[in-house]
Amino acid sequence: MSQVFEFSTVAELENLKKVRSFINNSGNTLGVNGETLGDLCLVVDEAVTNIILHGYEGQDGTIDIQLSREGDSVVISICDKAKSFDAKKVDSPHLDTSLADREFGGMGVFLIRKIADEAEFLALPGGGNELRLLKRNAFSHKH
Amino acid sequence: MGGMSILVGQEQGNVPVTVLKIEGDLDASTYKDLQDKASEIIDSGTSNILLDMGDVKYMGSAGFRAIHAIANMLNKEQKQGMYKSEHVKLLNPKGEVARVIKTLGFDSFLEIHEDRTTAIASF
Repeated sequence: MSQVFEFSTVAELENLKKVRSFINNSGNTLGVNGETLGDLCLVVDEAVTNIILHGYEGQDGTIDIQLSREGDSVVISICDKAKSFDAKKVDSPHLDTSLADREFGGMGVFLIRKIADEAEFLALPGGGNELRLLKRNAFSHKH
Repeated sequence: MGGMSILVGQEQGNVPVTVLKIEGDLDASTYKDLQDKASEIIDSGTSNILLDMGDVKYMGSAGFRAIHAIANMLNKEQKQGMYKSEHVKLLNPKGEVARVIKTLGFDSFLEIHEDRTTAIASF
């Protein structure tokens, strides 16, 4: 039976480092390769930042994270009880425009979609959201 | 509890260059400290900033937001269109940080140097 790593945190930006440590530590324990671990830290950090800033909008809240292995993939679930989030409404940043013309924001969701092999934003029946992330080839070591 | 610190140094190349050596993690809880520090030194007359990234362990999109804001603060000529910023450059981003810079396409807009002397001379 596969091991499930769980971490719950209060939705505050100061806890982002703890979230990344949780991903690093549980990923290391499972034997996730270094590059994938870096990707997972980035994707989860961006997702949790978005929940804190745009979901809870500074209000009190909690964020629950689970990480496990499925075959050669890592699956991560991030749940909140914040207002519903529609990822389709988030525009991607225009990476081909100049710095002066570029708009702030939108990069978090862009990075999540670009780096995760699967990213599914789900509205939970009782309220809140779940983001399900999957990253393939997480255990093969590149040389 | 910031996971980041910034050391300010002054160098003289063809023009004066302020070096901000960033240590730690550049995330949504710390990026404003970088932005504020840059704003403070720009207000006191700095026109060129080299961001020493050698000791940045983690950078997410918030870090880019800060660098983007700094580039725009230093774009006094109000340049438009495609260009590489002449007034803010990066020194020695490593590992994951260097990889994310590429993923976000920031290497098209920012000069990235590996050698400090060359970086200072390039302004």
